[in-house]
Amino acid sequence: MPSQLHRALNLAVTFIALTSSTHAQIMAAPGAVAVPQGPTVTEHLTASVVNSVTGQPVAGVLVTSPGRPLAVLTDSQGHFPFDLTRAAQPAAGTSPMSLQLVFQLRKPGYLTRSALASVQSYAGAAVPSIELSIKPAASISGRIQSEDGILPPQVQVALFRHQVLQGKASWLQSQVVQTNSHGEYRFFDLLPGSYKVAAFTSAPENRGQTQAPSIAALLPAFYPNADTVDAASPIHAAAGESASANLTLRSAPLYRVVVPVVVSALHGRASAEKGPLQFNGVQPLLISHPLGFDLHYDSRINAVTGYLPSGSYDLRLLSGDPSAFISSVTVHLNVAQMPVDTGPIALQPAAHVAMYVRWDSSTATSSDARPQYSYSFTSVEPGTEFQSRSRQRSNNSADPNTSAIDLTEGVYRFLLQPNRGYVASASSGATDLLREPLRVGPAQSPQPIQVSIREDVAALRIALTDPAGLDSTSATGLRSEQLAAILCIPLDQPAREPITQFILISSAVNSGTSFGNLAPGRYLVLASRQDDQIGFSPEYRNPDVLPTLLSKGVVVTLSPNDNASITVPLLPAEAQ
Amino acid sequence: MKGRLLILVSPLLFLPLAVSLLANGQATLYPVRGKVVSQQDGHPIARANLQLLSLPDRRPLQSTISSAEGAFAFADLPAGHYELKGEAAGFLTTIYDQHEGFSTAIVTGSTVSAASLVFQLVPRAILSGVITDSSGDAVFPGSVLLFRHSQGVGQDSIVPAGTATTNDLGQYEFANLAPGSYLLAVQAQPWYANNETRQDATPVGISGPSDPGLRVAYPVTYYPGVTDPLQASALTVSPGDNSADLRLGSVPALQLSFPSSGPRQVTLEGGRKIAVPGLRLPQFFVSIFGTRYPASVIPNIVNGDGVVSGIAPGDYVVNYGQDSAGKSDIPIPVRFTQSGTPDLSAQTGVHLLLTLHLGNGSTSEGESEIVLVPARGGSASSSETFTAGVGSKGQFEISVPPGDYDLHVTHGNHPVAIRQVVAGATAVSANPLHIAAPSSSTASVTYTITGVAGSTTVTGVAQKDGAPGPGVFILLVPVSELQRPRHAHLDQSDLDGSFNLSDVADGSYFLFAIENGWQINWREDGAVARYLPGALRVEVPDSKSSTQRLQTPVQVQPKL
Repeated sequence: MPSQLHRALNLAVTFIALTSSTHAQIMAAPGAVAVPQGPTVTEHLTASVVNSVTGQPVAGVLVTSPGRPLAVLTDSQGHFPFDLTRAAQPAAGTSPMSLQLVFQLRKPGYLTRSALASVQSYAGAAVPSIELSIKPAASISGRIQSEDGILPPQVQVALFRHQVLQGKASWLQSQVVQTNSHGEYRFFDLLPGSYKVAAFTSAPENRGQTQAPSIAALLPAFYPNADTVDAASPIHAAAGESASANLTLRSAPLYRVVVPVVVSALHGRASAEKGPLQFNGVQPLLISHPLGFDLHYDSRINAVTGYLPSGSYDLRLLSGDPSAFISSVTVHLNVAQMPVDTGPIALQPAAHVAMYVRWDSSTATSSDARPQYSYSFTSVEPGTEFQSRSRQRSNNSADPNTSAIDLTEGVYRFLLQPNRGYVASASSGATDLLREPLRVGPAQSPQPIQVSIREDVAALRIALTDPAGLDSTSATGLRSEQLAAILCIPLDQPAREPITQFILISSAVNSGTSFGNLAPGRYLVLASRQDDQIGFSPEYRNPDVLPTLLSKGVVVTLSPNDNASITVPLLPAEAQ
Repeated sequence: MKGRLLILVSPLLFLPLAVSLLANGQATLYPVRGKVVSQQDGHPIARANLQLLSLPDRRPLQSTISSAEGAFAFADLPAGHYELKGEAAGFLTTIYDQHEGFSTAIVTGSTVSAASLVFQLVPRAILSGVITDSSGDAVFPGSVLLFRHSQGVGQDSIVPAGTATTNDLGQYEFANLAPGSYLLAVQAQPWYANNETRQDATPVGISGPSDPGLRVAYPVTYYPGVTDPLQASALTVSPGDNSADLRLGSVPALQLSFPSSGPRQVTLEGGRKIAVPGLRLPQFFVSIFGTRYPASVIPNIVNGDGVVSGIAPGDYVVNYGQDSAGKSDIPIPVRFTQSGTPDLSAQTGVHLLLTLHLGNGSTSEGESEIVLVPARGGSASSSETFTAGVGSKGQFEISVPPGDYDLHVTHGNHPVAIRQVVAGATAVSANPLHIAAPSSSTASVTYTITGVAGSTTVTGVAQKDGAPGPGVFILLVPVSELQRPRHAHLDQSDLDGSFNLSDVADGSYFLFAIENGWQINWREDGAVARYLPGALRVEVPDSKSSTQRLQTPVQVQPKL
């Protein structure tokens, strides 16, 4: 997951920046222990930059270091000079510290990266040279045509990237570009990996069409010739290579869909969370909708309208406030080569779900008041993210034990996060919300949600072994640094998020790390070297992949108040 | 007919008007037919998509597609005013007889025929190219700025016509241009430029070398590859594909320090005063053909002082923002050369306190705006336009360089006719308004502006040889501004010769109807006065929100 990883990298960089400024302060303060006061030594060194795929030197790479006076281009051998200033002597009576360095590498056609390195904090034996790598970017380009040769100007082209989110593989739309006047598009500076490409024209109703019963329009198409992202073929964009994907759009009739809404019933309806809400229109959502077909609410006729090709659709109508929908209905539309008018549709009031949060104070670790918590309900049906909601709940609330939540029809993943302790159980009737999503049907209120919070958490100390032995080198040399990602995946509570730490490998191998606030239960612990641009996100919810993961990591069962220690092998960076 | 660009139309429910009239059996129906041709060479356009919209609310009524011979016909319509819009592959979306923001409405009725229209579509032009640097490498990301020569505002002017960003191959494209004369400018930074000035204090860690060859910048570069805007060439963009490549050359970048001026006091809301560091970190802009763009320089704070680096030599507009007294500084035009650093000490302009009185006939709703536009040929040192903001005492406040300005006042988006301007206690000329350099830099100049927000709609008919004059340029000029019109009202006559001038204040005017008058530089001194013999004198009485229908048609004059 790049976003999480970038955050971690930023943290690492911030951490390094902090330590170096701390050095400065400590050096200025007499009697400080961490870094010796006194003379420094500057060495003139040379490093090199290579292509991470071919291993060949890369010339003309701009090398800088954030906050440091370094700006140089690599020469034809990929070499660049730099100066390294360190303390002349180690501080007496302290353990050796390492100095963290950041090199920023930049060149068109390559992915800009911050390469981490570390070196002993005082000048000692000669420093060997260091080799940094830079990864060539991938690109995907192509041309969009239409069957009849007439292409509307500026077709939208969407790029989907293969990503694993919360243990599940999916294709996520990552960017949209427009074709130029010749139908050509181009995605560049891409991470090497698997992608899918779709082309679509903007919604026909935005092109000034009238209320004709049917109109001709170009249908969205997924490379090479599919209707859905799942049916599309992946495009493998290798590092430094340009993949090509051309598409032909087919014209088909679209039929007018009219879904009149019974508005009178929606006025003055109240939210359990916000009180009475103004009627503010209806938000239509096509569940798993194809690209480019959006229905819209027209207040003049109080109907949801638009154009759709023949097919079968689930349309969800929501009313209220985007942060608290209070009415909904799901309409099944069957468009069979003719316009559809469903007749008046009444939205059903949202379920007012009661939530009771119990705190087992006998497990309390401090004399503090009960823990505060936040909770969220995340819609898990594709295309319905609008329905998700989250709330903060604090001790200041009138009654911190109970909440009433508006939940419109849908399927939700429930997550409650206390600021101390863990959720020992969460259920709605017979549904265990730590394992299954909450299903809210039409005109049907789920059983109250019962949550119990305990504070008898377990702690887990993790030592890493590096089978490759790469980081068992002496602490004196200059070496490239990488981050390790350590994941604790709850095996018996799939609704829980895995807990992740990012840590410099040298420090992980030397001193390990620990997780201090784990809910008791069974965990799979995985540790992997982290490619700083791709990240480590195993597909642990895929039953075909899980056995392999189990063999690569360590499974541990934690009881309340446990304080366990395990050793986990460090896996190589995930290949792409 | 006056165009409105940002009207969102929802496509539903438009027919009821026509249908109900039909049901009553009272409406006579009239044809709307004709031929679609190219504005370029008059060739008929097949498969053009034509749409008829209601006026004034622009609801789509009907659409049709032209035949192989370019012929089109809508279902017959009741008497009324309609907008005809067309689009076709290779053509821009065009409104019938479109000129800048104006067009001719289609009118149906017993006195006018819309049965043999000739609808000219504007051919679509595409401008694309590649931006490279002197070593042939693509410039990415580069900001490509396009400008168009325009005469739509009554004078020769250069107006922004779009912005594009280059891709990793340095390619850019403007896909929907009207053929015409354009200017092109590129703003970018070399990818390898390193003008960073921020540095950690510690000596420990990585350092040098810092290659001075990387302290570089691209100056704003104009087509065909020059850095002096006076040497920029116009690009003639023809229907179809056009290309313009540009090559940028990097030059050593300049760096300027703005030492802290020590703590200064800032008054918060509620009167509390706090001391803030007197950091000076001015904003840098480049003024490209009279439009201001943020300059791609790197502002930084180094040891409490402001440092701006990455400045390519060239012309900038530098703005310090507000000074300690809360007066805004004027933007200073500055030229940076490799050899020397110009004096950048902030020059505070003339601080104006403006009070606005709106007279009888003005509605009280809506906000007022006062804009000062440097008068052409005047003595203003800047080409920047200044908009006054409402100050603490309900007055308008602004700082401007001394010089001559045209004063434009609006109230709730309606133009205000200026009746009197009083400087201190002395009435002064407002056309143009001369703002003198102050005797002391701290003094404010007080102006009291009296005006009337126009609320009368003047309607009438343009006539040529006794017949309606459609598509004619209509201009209403206050008698007092005949030699130098600044607050004119414009329209284009519809198919039946009718026109409609809104928001007119009471007073005496001359009304002109000029055939093909769109290219007349009517703002220039004496340009309109030449047409005075054919003008119609119009007296607009002092009445609130009324319509004045002119009984006498205005005679169409040929363009001189």
